[in-house]
Amino acid sequence: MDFEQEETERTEKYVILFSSLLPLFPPVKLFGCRLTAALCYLTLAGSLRAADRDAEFVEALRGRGQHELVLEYLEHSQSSPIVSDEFKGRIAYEKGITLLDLSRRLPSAERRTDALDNARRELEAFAKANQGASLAAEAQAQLASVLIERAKQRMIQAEALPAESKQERETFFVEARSFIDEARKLFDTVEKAYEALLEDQRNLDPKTQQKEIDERLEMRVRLAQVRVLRARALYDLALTHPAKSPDAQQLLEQSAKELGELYEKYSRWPIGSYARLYEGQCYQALEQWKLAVGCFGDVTGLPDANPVIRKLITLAHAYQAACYNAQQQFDTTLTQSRGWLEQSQSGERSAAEWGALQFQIAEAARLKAATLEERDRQRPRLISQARDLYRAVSREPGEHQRAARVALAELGRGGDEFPQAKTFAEAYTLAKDALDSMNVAKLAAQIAAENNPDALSSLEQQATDGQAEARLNLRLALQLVDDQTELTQLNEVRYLLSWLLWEQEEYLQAAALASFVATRYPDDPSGAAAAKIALASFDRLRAADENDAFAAAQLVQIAQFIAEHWPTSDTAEVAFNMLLNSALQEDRLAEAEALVSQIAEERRPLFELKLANAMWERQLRAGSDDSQAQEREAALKLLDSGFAKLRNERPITPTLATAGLYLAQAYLDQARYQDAIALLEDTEVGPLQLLSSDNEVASRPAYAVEAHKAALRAYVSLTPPQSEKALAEMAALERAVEQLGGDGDGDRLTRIYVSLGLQLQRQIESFLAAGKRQEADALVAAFATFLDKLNERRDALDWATTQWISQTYFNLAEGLGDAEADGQQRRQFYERARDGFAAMIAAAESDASLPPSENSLLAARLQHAQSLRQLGEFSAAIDAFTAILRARETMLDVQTAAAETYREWGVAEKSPARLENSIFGGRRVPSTGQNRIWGWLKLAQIAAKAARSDPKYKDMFFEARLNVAEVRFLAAMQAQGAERKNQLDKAKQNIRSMVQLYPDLGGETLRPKYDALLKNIQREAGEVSPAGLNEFQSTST
Amino acid sequence: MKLDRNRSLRAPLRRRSLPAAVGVAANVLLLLIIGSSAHAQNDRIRLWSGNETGEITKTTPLEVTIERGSASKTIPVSEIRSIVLGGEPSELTQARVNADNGGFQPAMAALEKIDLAQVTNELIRQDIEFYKAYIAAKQALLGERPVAEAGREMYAFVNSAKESYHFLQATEILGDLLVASGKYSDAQRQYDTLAKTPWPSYKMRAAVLTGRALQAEKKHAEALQQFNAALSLKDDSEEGKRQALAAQLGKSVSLSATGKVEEGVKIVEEVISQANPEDKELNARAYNALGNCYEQAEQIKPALFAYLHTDLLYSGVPEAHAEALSRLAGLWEKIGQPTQARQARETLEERYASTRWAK
Repeated sequence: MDFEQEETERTEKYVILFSSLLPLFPPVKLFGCRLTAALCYLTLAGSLRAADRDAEFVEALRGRGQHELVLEYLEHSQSSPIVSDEFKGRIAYEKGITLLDLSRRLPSAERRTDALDNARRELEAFAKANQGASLAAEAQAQLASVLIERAKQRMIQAEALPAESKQERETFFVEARSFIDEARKLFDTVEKAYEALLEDQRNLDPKTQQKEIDERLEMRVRLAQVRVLRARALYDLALTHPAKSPDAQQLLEQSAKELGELYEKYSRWPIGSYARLYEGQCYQALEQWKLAVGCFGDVTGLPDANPVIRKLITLAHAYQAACYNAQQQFDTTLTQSRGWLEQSQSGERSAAEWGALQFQIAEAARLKAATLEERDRQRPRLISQARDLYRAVSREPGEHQRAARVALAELGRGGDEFPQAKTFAEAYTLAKDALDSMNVAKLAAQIAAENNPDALSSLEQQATDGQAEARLNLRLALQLVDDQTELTQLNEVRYLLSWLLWEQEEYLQAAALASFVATRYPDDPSGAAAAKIALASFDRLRAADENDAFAAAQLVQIAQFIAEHWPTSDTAEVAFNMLLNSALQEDRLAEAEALVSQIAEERRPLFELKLANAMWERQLRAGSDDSQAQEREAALKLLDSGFAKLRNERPITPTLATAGLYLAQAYLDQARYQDAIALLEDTEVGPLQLLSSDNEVASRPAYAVEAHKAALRAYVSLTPPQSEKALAEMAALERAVEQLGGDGDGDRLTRIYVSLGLQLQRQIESFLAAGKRQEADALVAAFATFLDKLNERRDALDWATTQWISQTYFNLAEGLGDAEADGQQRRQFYERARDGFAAMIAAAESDASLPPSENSLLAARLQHAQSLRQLGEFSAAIDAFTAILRARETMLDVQTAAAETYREWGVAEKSPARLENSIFGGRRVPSTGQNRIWGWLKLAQIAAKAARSDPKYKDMFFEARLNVAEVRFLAAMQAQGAERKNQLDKAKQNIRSMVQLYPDLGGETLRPKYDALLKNIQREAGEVSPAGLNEFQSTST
Repeated sequence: MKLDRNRSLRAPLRRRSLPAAVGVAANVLLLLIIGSSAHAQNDRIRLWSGNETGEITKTTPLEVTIERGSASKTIPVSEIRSIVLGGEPSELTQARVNADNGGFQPAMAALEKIDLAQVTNELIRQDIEFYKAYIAAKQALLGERPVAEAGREMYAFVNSAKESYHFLQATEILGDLLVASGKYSDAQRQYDTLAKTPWPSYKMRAAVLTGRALQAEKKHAEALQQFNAALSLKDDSEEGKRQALAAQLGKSVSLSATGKVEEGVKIVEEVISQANPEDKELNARAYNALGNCYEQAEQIKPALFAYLHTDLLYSGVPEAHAEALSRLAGLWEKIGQPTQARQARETLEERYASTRWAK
């Protein structure tokens, strides 16, 4: 029997065999008949050998999309005693083609690349280990197809880039070309291998060597396949060049020529028809429509009894229709191509080839409708036809699905009624379709917002309709659950509905449904996602109403559930955060610590640091309360350890950046100035470094302000202070404050400086209180040195800085101890404060625009007066107070300070007149006859009146009255004889009157003071055992 | 040899189909992969645990006999969840699904489409008649048709199909209809029939139903006795566990009705955590009971949350769903969400217009 006769008789087998090649031929590749491919092995082998059974089994599983299972089975087969050795020898090959097939079904590009890389490894290994065998050649052919797939991926990536990214696009195209070149070389190798193998099998005896004849036939088919694929690769290569470029034209022409020759050579076999189809595609790309249509016509004219051939014919019809559409011959598509579509058999239309055809016919109907007048009767029919076809295409995965959905979204629903589902499965499908339609419409609306604003409202309507339809069908699906309903699908419906409810801001409903799925079915595929919805919904409910105890409790409950069930998920991190915040907000520190201890070890450091940050924030809010010392210590310890664990983690998280800053602050509190500076300046994680490198984490202005504040404090606290750096930090601080914005009165910088001064003062006091005299002295000395240096250039400084310097001198003086040396230094500091404030006042008098606000100037005047008072320059102090009161007579703080000043003046100079001023006031205003400075009596009267409407003035009243009595007592101490007795009597009488009118004397704080003063009076009056306030009680009784 | 393209390519395709050996092998392969599939015309009994397929050859109120090949098996009714009969009209299958999910109108509409004259299988005929009577009874319980008329239909079925495996279910429904008519003692006699079966789970069921009838009479102390009696019967079967939970639930309702709300909440929460989440009837009752408890304690949000479970998850239990919608309408108003209140009321009126909850 000669070769051609043999082929003719076995054509049926070839049809089956060719179908096994389909995966190599896009776009049919996704839908190749894997089962018939398996049958091919059976037919050729003639009997069911063990290796064949295994091959069939894995092939059938692959055909059912169970690739993961196949890979698992192959892994297991390597050591399985029931798997034949022959099959074990081809496991790498099977793995390779399984991965190759799998790669075509994977949704993510990354996973596809992984699968292709692994396929390549396996096939290479197999080819290497089986050189000279026919299956090794087949492995290399498959390998070549892996490379073609990789090239196509690169082309898709390139096409996805915007047109302006020319360089990146070209990089992808270059890579694609290199893959295709490599593939073509491999095809050459495979061709040679098959030719050599066939050469060895030229003369076979049909009587005794039927098996070898079958194998030879298979090899001839595969050789033809390889040649077609190599020629087709030129077409792919052409697509890597710009359309219509000389390179593209040349490659397409070359591909068409080679494919044409192969068609002539193999026209008796279906592979020849594939060559013809691809040849037609080349002409289609070259826009040589007649040649293209002719090629496709040869394929559409094939007999159509075999399902595989029917797919090929359908594809040719689809390409042909695309050619007609490109030439605007819509009627030809609508009659000729439609005619073939109407011949489709049951179940065929869901295949990709039929989808491609339906899409082209839909395009023809839509485009033709667009050419017609609005009133043309054909128009609605065509649009309706297009809509139906697009809808069908949009329901099946395939290369036209997305385009069909977009076209459908643009055409709108056309007043269709929502179809009514009768079963769960129908409702589920309709709901998913509606969700797809909604998503596509939303996507299209985003694009339309820029490109086609006219379409926006209809697209938005489409999205709204889709949402409503999805919701309706999801609810319907829940009512149509039956025995056959898969629980996972049911939970998916519940989850999707909860998501829609969440989208529509129906949070309580969303929470009810989602928390049900999450808590009742945590292991269900929808469980974790539902938990996220539940968490988010309860969070929204709580945010909407802070007093919603139910939402708060449920939030904690679901967060705990998430943390326990999905401890390593991102949602768990959010959940832990919520729990932690909730525990910290309510001061449940022990609970927060317990929570952190439950977190998986590898994630714990981050949460420890969060806890440490929260604890430190609490300390900052609490101020320098000594009762917090233990907690402060614990917070510092946690900050220290947490920061150490995470300082090398990259990228730097906001938590780490915040912790770095807090730790620096904590070091400053502990007088660890060098440590603080080392941390602040750390070249990797230091807050100053983060700021200078514009790290996003440190981009918040508030962070910058706090970092510069800490740095300034550190530089000025060091011995000797780093003045230059401190000055630079002051400038940076000023800029950061400006960036903070929203500074209504422009005093923010001043307030920051003042608070910094107070912070230092408190630290000095705390050192002194703790007996750390040396640390206190060192800090005072260092700080004073810095201030002096700064003070030298006071004239060049702005208002805020000058105010800060003066105020800080004042605060430093206040913070010093009682030793003689302290007294001298205190005087020096007060003098510098006085001079500083005086200079500010003088400057403001010559340029009223200098102070940022009126209050700022008043503050300077007050502190100036206070400095004078502290220095014992009472007359000048009273002048200064008077000046303030001239502008604002009712400033009670100033009135009080002035009354105090008179008393101190009276005591210092033993002047009864000044003591009288303290009680009755001074600096009479000629025009009114009233004193500008009120004195204690009037202060008491004013406070009594104010206390009627505001109880906070009550204390002021009792204090003022106490001061009256005390000043009387002081006057008595300066007097002799009758005057002394007179003053003592008046003092006592004052207290008696108060007791009669106000028996509680202002409460627990002030009553003891009255009692103590009265005892002194009684003692000075000669009473041996002064009874204090008891004297009046016994009298009254 | 010169090639004749047409002959070589087309003729064999027309002439031949797949080689027989290949077809057989493909079938073998398919069977290997997929496993044996059920015969299309077989009867299928869905049990509380597993399935049985074959041909049903005999039924009594207590048992169903099914044969498969030469093997015969008798299955107690207490173990049966549902039966799909081989060759039954698709409308019957659809009606069963609809009825099970509270879709009584479409279920009845589907049954009405069946031409009984064409139904030759007696079991299928009985099933159609039962479901018609069952749906009528359920609609009557919802207030959508007269109770007496539905009762007559069910009696007619019981009398005409004395060997039906639906007998006990029919008896129970009759009891429910009598409760709805206020004939509590007659209802209890129907429920007592269930207690006479040999299965503890049915004795428990009888006690639970009697307890509920007593609750309808507001005799909570006596109802509690019935629920406790049900709980004293030990039965580890799935149905037994289900009835124990139903008894617990009944207890919680009576406890909260007598002012022991906290105790009631605890029990309901326990029932919910132990019940199969897909047990629509039990869960719908439980969430409504929970909502009731919270309402009594004036905890609006938790009450809303409980009723929402019935609305969203168990809307296939019409009586419970109608109650939940009615309660939700009021509760949404209370928390200042009139749109949600209106939606609940609209759904109530649209789906359960004739029920007491919509009036």
